[in-house]
Amino acid sequence: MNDALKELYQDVIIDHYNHPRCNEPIVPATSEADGVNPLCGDEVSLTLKIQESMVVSEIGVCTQGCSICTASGSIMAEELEGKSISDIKSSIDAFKGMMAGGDVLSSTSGDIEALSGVKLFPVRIKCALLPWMTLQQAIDQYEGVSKENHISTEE
Amino acid sequence: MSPFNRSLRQDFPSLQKMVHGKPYVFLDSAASSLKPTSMVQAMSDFMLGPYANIHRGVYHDSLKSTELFENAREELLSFFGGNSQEDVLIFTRNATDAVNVTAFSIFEPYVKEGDTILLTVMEHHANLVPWQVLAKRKKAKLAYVSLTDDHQLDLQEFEKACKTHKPAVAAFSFISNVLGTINPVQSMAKMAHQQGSKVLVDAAQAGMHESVQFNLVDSDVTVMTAHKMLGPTGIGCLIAKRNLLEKAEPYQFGGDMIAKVDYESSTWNTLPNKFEAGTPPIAEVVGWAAACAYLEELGWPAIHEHEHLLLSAAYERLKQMKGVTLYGPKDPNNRSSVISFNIKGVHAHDVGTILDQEGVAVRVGHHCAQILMKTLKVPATVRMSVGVYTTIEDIDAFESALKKVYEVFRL
Repeated sequence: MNDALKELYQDVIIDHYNHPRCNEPIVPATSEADGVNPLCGDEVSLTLKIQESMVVSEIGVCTQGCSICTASGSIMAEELEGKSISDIKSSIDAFKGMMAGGDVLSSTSGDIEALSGVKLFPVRIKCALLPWMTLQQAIDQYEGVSKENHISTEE
Repeated sequence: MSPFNRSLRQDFPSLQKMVHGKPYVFLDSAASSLKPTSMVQAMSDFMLGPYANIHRGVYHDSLKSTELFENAREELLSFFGGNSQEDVLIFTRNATDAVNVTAFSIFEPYVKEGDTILLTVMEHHANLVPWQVLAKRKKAKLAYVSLTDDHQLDLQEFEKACKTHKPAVAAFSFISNVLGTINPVQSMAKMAHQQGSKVLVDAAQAGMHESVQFNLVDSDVTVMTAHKMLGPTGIGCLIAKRNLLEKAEPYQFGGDMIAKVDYESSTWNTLPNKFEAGTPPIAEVVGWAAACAYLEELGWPAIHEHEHLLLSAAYERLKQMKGVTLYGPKDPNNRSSVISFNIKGVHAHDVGTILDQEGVAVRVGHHCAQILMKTLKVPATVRMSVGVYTTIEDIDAFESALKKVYEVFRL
């Protein structure tokens, strides 16, 4: 296996792909959103339970997609569950920045760092971003910023 | 042993490169084929030589260019099995454009409210979405013929659908770009014609692999594209019966397609010009004829023997691999040019990325056939496809690269 592939398909990624965490839908959900990548058909269905304290207490990410998309959603949910909306928003921005070639985002589990290898594969960046964009959409909808509960990587 | 000499590879300079430090293995001809030097040379010789606009100049090079362009049309029509007395070849941008011309101009008057347009579930979006739009506009219905368990077209169902719906239009592909299934287009055209349907055959995927034989198949319209058969991009065509085209209204309007222009209205030029508004891609037409000449020199029997050998080898090796699901007919005699598959536990996109790192180019995704993906109940497949320049060493490299997928995913 060459170095680029090792960088992309780290053990952490394969583990999250084969055993995705937080992949049960939250019922009833406080907010929900669907995300699709029409180019490859990846789909993320995201459900949230948000407390009055503005803490996201539960995240459900159901993904039908590639290893990068599935692992990214699983890592995201595990890392962000229990955090406040404002903390989550900064994490989303930081993750987008990391995919754009910015600083590597540090996480409590150390798993987000494993996704930094994706930036070596420009066509796969959208796969990693899809769950994070869907989460952003669910939050925007909760806050009334957006009425849409659907996003696409191609819009 | 392939009937082709290895030196044939020299005709395709884009193969002579390394990708990610590995020799380039191109297995995505079904998306677009590579280009032989002779085709590029023909375009270049024309553009740097007698180049001028056609059909309007009285000077030497314009007449010469017109002659080259019209000769190319004749050569292409003959290559596709048409007859210049009864059939007309109209140039379009590509096969998609040719389906649009057919749907919204040539077949349009024959589709009435409540009529059925008959399609198959294996159609490329190019031969599906235009019909959806026409059906909506006309308040017509769509019907889809499905597959047998062996992923061939269900011919009995097709015949039944023709008898039940008496479709105004039946439109189907010659070869599925995902399954590689070769459809019995001659029988299908006959069944549809017996019920009074207008028939379109989408031969885009056949170009480099099967002889189109327009007159033998006896469709009303057959659409083609150059870029999948060693030719350039930006040029395609439809071949249709002359009397059908004479009755049809033009699709686009402007220069070259007119006979007389007055303040309020105009009259139309004769065929084929009536359907070719504006300056066409002249050099591309010249290049396309050169591509067909290249294929003609190789000959269909040798092309079939070569591709059969490579596809059978690839199919057998894929069958041996753990967790591989193969799509398309099992008998290699019923399939052409492509093999679609999935590896259990690995998404097609991951397979594509890993193969690319090994220098192997394949297509992954829905292949512009989302209805077929729904029928197969998969979001995506990996598709390998071969061409005249593919070698058994390419299949070896493909097999080795697939083993990396198992390594990466710890399977």
